[in-house]
Amino acid sequence: MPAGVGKRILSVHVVIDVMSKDGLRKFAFGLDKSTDKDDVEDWAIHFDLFERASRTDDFDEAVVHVDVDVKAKNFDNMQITADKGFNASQAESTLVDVATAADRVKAGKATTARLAKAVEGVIEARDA
Amino acid sequence: MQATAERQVVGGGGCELAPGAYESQGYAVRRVEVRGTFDWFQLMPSTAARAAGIDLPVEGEPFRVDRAVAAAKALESRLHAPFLGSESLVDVTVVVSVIENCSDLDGRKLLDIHYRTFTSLLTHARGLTIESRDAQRTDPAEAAGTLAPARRVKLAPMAAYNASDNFLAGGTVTVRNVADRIDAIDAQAVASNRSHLFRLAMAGSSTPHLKWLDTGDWRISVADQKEAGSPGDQFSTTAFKGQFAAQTRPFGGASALFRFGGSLEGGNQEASVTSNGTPVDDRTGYGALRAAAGVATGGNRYSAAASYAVLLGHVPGDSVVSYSKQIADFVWESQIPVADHIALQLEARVNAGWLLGSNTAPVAEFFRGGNREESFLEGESWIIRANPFIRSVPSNQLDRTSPETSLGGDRFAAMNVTLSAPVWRYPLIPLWLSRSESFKSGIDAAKQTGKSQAVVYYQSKDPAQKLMAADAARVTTVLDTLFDGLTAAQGTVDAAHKDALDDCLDAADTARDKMTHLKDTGFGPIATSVVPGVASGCVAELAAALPPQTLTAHLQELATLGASIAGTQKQVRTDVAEAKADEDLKFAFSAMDTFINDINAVAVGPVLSFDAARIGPQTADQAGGTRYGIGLGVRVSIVNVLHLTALYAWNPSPLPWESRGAWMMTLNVSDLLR
Repeated sequence: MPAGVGKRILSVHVVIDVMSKDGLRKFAFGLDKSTDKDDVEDWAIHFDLFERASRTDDFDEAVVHVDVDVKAKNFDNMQITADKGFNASQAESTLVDVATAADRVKAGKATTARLAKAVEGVIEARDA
Repeated sequence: MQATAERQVVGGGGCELAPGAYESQGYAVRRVEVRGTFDWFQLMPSTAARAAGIDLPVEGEPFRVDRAVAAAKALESRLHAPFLGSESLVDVTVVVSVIENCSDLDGRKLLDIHYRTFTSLLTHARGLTIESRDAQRTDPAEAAGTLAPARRVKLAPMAAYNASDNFLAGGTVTVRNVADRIDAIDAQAVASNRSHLFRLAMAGSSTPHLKWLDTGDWRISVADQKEAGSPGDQFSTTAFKGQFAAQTRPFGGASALFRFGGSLEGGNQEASVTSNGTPVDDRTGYGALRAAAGVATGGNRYSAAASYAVLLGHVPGDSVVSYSKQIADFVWESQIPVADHIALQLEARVNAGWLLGSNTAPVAEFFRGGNREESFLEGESWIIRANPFIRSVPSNQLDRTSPETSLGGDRFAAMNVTLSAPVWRYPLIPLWLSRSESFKSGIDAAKQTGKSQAVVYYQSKDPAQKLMAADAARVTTVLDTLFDGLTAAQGTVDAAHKDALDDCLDAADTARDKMTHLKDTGFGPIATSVVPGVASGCVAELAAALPPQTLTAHLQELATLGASIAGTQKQVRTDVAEAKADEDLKFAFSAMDTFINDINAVAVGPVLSFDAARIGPQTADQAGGTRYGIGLGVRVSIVNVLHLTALYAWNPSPLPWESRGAWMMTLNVSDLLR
């Protein structure tokens, strides 16, 4: 096969950080779209929420960290989420359900399985 | 899951097979390249430098899909990390990994792996002001605030020509990140055989910790400037100046922002001119207070600004305010797309000025026009044009108020229109990338998520939230009571219901915790998450086993309260929240789109101009009244390298003391050391 000028995208990785209006929260939405050996598209979604008490403080470690491996779940909502990002219902679910679960895991009041369920709920919230 | 062979191939043939096929067929890596979209024409690509330590595929080794993708992910993390410390409204990091040049020649199976990156910081007002749009075009890497400068020292040569000053050459040496609050120290030297500018400046900027303020900057400078005018005329200023300027965040439905600033300066001014055949040599010390205010507004494809500035000047031996100047400046700029990465750029400007106290003002302060722009404030962040700009007249040679009197005027008005478009261009972000579905949907997903977060925030501030506050408070009380009751019941419930009770207790406790996370969302999730969570965690069988006042009554009350909140939630104006979110983010997103879809790495095209200007007072238009200029030129722009504009403007009705037209040229080199 002769050399060609064609390009094939292996993966696209996007992270967008958005600061809240009051400057006290910053969230990072990450989307990884990659192709595996069998040319099947694989998506992963990441969500991090950072908080600080004052605008003069630095953001420290994420208070909420969500990883969704979309490949493992073949739901329509996941494909839509991977293509279009979180809608408002999913954003709400992240800020309440996932943040609560993350806090409870940290406090030893919940298991990581419960946090994973809350993350799964974010995808399901697309229909809410 | 879906097979994506077709949509992942971009830019034609060459690597048509699935990536795994190249791996299984034993292809080896011929070349690995890491390049940022802003790395054009750099001595040392900054993105590649940032990739140090990342486990990139190795040239000569077998190609492995997983390793190539993992390296892209690691690169993304590396590039994204510094953004956590930024105060920008939005920032974005994109890494795309690509294979290309797949070849099988004489059994040698080789391919290239390229990593393309795009990073950008976007403030609230990025893309709204004309100055920020210009910065995007002329130095996108700097405007994007992408990466920390690879070098502390920046060297930006420049050259210019106009018939008054002759060829000017020089540049600016900038030392960046000098100290915590000092962004840069600039040493600028530009000179010709007739004029010069030597300036030393120290500047800083910050994002103030005030909700309504976007940016603020300050600047202290000392400068010695000499300008030429009509043959033999010279104007000099030596001054020490302290300046500040700030701009608010966009406000209002029209997406406007307010700018304000001022400076205090003192020094000497000198004018050596000949008027009415008499040499005039005016030298004086002076002090001046400058103040300026303005409004800027814009949309996706246009920007507009109105500025008003006043100068109060003092000369020794006169009153505190010996003279004053006022400047009004209105500017409009449009970008009209006509083809891919080709936009017709239209800039229209009207400005006017008045000098009061001309009998005591230094002659150097009089208004003179020509093909060199003067700005009321120093720096590039806010341009208020302070002189009549007319490209058919050499700098400072529009100076007559009568055929004999050439001291300059005490008033002026000018209008300028400039039209330009690239006819040949090479996009900053390659078309194969900006048009690929994966890249576009990744950007869209990120933008939509950003908007959704803002929508949720504004929903939480909707007036209807107050209507739910009492119900929400009651929910908290009921949950506390429920939790206490269930805790007490742990000692009495039979073994068969113990697990159910534990689940119910956990659900109630989780619900209580959720109630503490509602400040950013409003009370809506009580109906959609809190109450349903308790209901699903507390099964009917358990309710039957416990006294009604321990569980059933509380579940019923929670259901009632949830239904009430769900009903009131319908009053929350989602449309208003979405509009506000759009308002907040549209300029940041628009700026991102501009980087991706509009900006060219190389562009060449014509420039057309029309100018009209007059100075006064002129009795019966003795000095020709309004003077005109019609120009044609060329603009060459090479990102990170140079920006050249050369233009000749005709004077359609030259008077005896005027030339038939004038050449002008400006050449700015971005940074020789980049």
